[in-house]
Amino acid sequence: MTRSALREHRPRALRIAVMAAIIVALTGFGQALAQGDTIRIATSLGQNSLAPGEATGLPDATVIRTMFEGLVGFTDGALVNELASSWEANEDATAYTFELQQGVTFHDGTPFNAQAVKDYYDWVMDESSIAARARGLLAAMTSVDVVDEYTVRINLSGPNGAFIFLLATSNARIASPASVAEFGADLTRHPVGTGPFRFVSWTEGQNVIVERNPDYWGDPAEIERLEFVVVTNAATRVAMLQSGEVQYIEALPPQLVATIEAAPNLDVLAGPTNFLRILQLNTTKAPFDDVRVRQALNYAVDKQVLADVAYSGFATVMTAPIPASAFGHAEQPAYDYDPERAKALLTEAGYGDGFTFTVLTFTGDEYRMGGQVLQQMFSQVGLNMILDQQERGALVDQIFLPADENPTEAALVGASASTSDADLALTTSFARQSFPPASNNWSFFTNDRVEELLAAGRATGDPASRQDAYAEAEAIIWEQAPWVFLVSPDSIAGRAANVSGVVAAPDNTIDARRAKFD
Amino acid sequence: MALFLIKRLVQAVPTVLGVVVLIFFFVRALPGDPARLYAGVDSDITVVNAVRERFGLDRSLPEQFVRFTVQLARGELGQSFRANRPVGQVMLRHLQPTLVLGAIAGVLATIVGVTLGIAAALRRNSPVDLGITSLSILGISTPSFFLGILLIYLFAVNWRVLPVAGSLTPSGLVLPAVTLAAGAIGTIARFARSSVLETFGNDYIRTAYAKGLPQRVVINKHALRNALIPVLTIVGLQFGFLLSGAVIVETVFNFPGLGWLLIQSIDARDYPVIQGLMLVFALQFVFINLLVDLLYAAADPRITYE
Repeated sequence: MTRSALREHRPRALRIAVMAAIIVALTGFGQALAQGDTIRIATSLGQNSLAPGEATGLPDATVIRTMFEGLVGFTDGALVNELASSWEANEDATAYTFELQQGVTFHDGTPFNAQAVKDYYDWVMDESSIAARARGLLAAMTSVDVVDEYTVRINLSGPNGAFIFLLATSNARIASPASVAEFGADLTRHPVGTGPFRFVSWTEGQNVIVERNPDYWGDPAEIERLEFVVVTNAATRVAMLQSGEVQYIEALPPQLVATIEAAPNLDVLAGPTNFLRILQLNTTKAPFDDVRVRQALNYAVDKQVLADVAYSGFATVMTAPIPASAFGHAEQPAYDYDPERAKALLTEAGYGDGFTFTVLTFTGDEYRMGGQVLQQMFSQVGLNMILDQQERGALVDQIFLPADENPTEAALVGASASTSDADLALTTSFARQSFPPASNNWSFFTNDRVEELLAAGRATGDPASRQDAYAEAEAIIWEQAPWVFLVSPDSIAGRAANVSGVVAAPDNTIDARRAKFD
Repeated sequence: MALFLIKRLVQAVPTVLGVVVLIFFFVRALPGDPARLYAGVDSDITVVNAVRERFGLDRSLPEQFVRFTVQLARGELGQSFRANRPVGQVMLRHLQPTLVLGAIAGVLATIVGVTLGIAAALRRNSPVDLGITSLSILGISTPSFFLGILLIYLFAVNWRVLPVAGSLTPSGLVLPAVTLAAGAIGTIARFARSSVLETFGNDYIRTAYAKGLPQRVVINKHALRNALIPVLTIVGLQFGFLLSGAVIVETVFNFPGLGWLLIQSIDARDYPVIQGLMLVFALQFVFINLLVDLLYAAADPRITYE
């Protein structure tokens, strides 16, 4: 039974012609670059909270920056005054006094003054409030005093010269005390700040929309609306930039840079970050308990090649244990690429025949490529490196185990200086108090002199003394080499050519406060 | 019939409960600490512990399980770690997109798949048949991730006729629905083709021709109707698989449905939401299977249920 039952009467040729016409018409259907009153920005992760005291993620900080301000803040990585017109620390850095901007109101009409600052920070310090993250960050704060209507003093439990940097971070930004009183635990979804934009809506997991605040005390925003869209898939994000559905995307994969650069209506933006990529060595496990071995590994790696291969050139070689943009950075003598010296050091330490070790790292292209480059370079000096890529949750579990349970020999991971200041960066990575599971000293580095110097740097507000203390601490850490000091990756973003004022901040969030169409 | 329904529903309860209990222990066995993931890697241990307490994860495993079952008996699914809202509320937000996408993809797959399958059977071994069979295999074996990106590149980036991101608008549903339906179309088409061909081999077809009935009547009135009954089972199963297929498609197209929510929740180790979603998926499978059995009985007079 193979008879053709339903015979087609439409001629084939006509059908083909129709199809061709449609395709031609559609191809010409270009989409003009978006203009208008909204700039749309795509982030790779969604927001969890819009309450500055509670939010822990980078996407949260990106949105919070548009609506909230702190006494001080960071612009382009530098510490600047925001709601405080001036400030000073007392002699032993146990109290900071701030003169406040006048004529400022929160989005709900509450006036901004010393009392408002006190009310807000009192709430932050209250154990029962949802601001756990801010409370942990500002733990040194004991009380806030209203000196007069526009002067406020923050008292600390002990000397802390780095405290001003903590106040500049996203978690320290100030929300309206009236909103705190009204919403309490639901402050997460009711952001009321003093910033150039105010809240419109938040569809969780999808987008946040903010609009221009017409009563802003500073220079008014240049765009009517900002929409932050959550697009988790990198390829989708890039496609949306190309199609004009969004005007800015973060985390542009290095492999796609050429595609975006080639597009006439799109730009690629690269900038320095506060992030580092390092090979952490567990100093409690042989052979990494021997400083010569650790230094040998530093000499065995050509960091510039790593930057060029694994990051397509979008990375800078580290010159100190903290990022170059952080206060207290002191450039150290480079561990130049010297495989002969590396082999000599290994032999001296008794490992002339080399050894095998496992490097734990995250999944994904960046860490895979970086790991492979390291593998190659280590094999040139007789070392056999095994790369163990693990999913983020599993890796975090393993790396935070205490010393006696921790099986990690080495880890190719990241570190950051989120306060742009040496104190937090050095303390969380190199102080004894930061041994896992408490914090990120995954190499279990311990040095008495460094402990002294970190305390000294914290104990004064005088920048020169702090700089000296940190310079000496960094020199010791650099020489002791608990890490193989690799690179600081750049942030790479894509942006529509007719948009400006949206940039990547060094902490890998997006600063969209000055966004506008050209 | 009513008795049959009740019996089936009662039988489903242990299955669904079994799935939920299994998931409860399984997610807690996974590496990755939800509290630390929520608090951030650079957070102080005190913050992490405060978060862990809020999630109820500081309690022992048996105690967590008891609280969970008590809660479930009350009809509550708990509080999402990430969103700090009831799980039911979170899932409800993401339900409509998945239902709409699934329905459209399912209907599309059924109509196109059955049509292609019949066409292939009627023109067996012709170029048309070969073309349809090849397309079916292509549809089944092409990963939806790849197909989705390809369609995005062609239609959204290159020709700019459709948006990249999926949404509940006519243009925003086209690409996700087509991507989701692709595999189902292939399966349904192949099955429909073989079912129709098998029906043609039956005696009653020969009798119908012998009676002098025109080909059109033989096919439409006698062959197709019988051929399509087993196809119904396949269609039903495909509807069931659409929900799991949606996980990938929703991620690629940034389409905020239940599948997308599942990926986000697993990434964040949001145990209560993962458990809630697994419950929904299990219920959905049971329900669809039941529906297919009922339709089967309605379509085929030879089948009755006690």
